[in-house]
Amino acid sequence: MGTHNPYSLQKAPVLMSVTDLSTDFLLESAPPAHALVDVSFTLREGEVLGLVGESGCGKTTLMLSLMRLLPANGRITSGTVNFMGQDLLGLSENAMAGIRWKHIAMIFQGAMNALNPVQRVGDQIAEAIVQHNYIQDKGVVDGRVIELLDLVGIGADRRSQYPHQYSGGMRQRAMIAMALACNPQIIIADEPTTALDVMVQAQILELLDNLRQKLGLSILFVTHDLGVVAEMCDTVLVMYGGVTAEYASVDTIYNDPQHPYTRELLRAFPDLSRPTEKLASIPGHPPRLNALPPGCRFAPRCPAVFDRCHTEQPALHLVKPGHWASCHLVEQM
Amino acid sequence: MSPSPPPIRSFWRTFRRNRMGMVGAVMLILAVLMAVFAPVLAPYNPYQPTRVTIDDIYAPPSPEHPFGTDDAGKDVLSSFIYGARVSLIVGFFASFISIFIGGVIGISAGFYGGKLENGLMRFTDIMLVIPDFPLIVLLVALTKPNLLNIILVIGLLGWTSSARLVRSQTLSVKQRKFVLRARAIGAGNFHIIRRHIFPLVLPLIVVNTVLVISLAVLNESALSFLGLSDPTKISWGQMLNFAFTRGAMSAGAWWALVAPGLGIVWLVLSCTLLGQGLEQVLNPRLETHHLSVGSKMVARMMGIKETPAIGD
Repeated sequence: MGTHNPYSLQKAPVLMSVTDLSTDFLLESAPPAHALVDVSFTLREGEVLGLVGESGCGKTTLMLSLMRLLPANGRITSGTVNFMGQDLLGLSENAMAGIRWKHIAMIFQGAMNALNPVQRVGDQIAEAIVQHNYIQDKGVVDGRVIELLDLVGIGADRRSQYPHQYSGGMRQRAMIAMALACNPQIIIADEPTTALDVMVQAQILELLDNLRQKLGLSILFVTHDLGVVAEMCDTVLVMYGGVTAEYASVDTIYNDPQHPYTRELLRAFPDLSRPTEKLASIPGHPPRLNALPPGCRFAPRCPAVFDRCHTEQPALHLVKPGHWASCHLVEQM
Repeated sequence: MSPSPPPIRSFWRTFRRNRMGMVGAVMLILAVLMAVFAPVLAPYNPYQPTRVTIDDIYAPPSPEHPFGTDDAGKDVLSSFIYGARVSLIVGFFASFISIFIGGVIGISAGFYGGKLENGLMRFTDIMLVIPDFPLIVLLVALTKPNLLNIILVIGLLGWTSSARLVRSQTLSVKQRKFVLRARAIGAGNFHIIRRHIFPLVLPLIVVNTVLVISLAVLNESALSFLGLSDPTKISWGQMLNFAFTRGAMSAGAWWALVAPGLGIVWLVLSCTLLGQGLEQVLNPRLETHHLSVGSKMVARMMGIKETPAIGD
């Protein structure tokens, strides 16, 4: 699985650019929780952007904000999501419904829950086609469903089965087929391989990579698994506590990480070349959004912490072109 | 890999094994058949005027009149067979009205939430605390007590518990991830309700309909017993009313009371059994609940007891 040549990627046109996106969750008896603060990134054509971080770091909130599918108490407070020359956040609800799935599709985590248990899988794939293309001819829709299932390696005769008759990997592949239904430019994949065993996981990743090359997809890849990131992604956005910790190309992240959180994450990942080394872990938990530390959000767990970290929030600094990190240490360099 | 059977067939396969539900279904089918084929089954036509002598009034069961005769010298068996029609018609139609209103209110309240939910649910609560039966009696007495009015009044007042049940189920289905997926596809509210919410609420609606039928049958019988029935239609409640007010008790004519009474019990019991059977089949969680001692669980407990401890 080859990553793209970074030079060709830099020349590729920008598909989506997100600037200073912030999202709050309104709470009943407390000030709003800032789940996402000033997140910015760009997604180029054919690029795979990895979104990593522990649970509760705002990865899912970021995705749902992009799709404008936040729960009722979620509010996007600032920022722009520029896609195809328009700001998605300024669109009417109807116009946004037209963008969803047709241009930006999602692969959900836990395919069993994302499939309706009482509907045939084929019908669920057809749902998106009918919704957007208004194809009334049943035969044409059915042909497209067969084509999509074939693309992900599922036999045509299984389209009339129910989700519970599929294996875990097949369900995930059906979800991918569903995401491809309307030929989207961007696919948001929310931990598509979580809860699958490593063999199936490898199959799914290979499938995604093939499809990416065949169809020229851009993928926003949310995952916990740094191994998957190294394999799949061109660029990586490391998130911590709702803010960007580090944003760089995948090579830079692995070879020259600047943010202590990125370094700790990489250290916590098993390395085959040093099998005897004890696995490191980062002590503590990600901050609760309603009890954020006053300074840097990572300060309470940071091994390189100093006084300034407890009082002042670091801004996102440009380390070198294409490499950002939000840490006071970077500024001092 | 063969395509899976249609859901209706797999449902039937499971339902067939549910003894309680099957008994209820057979009982209900028998009652419906009796009502449909009343002209064929009944030995006499109860709507036809008859010439009677004093000996025909409250005549005990005989080969000629297997269930005896009533206060007008009419054959009780024939009236009993024809009487099933009113009970069933009122039961079915009133419960369809109830479940339709309850379903619409429950799904809209649960799905849309917010002010709409608050308004609808407070309205439901108000309707829920008003004692149903006195209100039904009042409304039927104020309007003309014909079949249509009775159906409407019972139907329009019986939807409250269904609305609450459907709302709670909608609330839980709404949180499922495939609803979020449907929204991500770009689907609108109506599409989501039709394709993703309704099919998962439907089993509950089916079960509830059957249970509401028995309530409607009971209400209708009680109304007729109080004399608020359609005077042109024979019903079981009306038969009880006539027997009660026209001296069947003092004449010792038990046969005039037993047949319609047992008819009501039969119908209500069949609906309750069928409803509970359907509930068990459509809601697999009931079977594994720790409080439900189903036949499976009993067998398992017995099995554990009977298994001799190895190595003792």
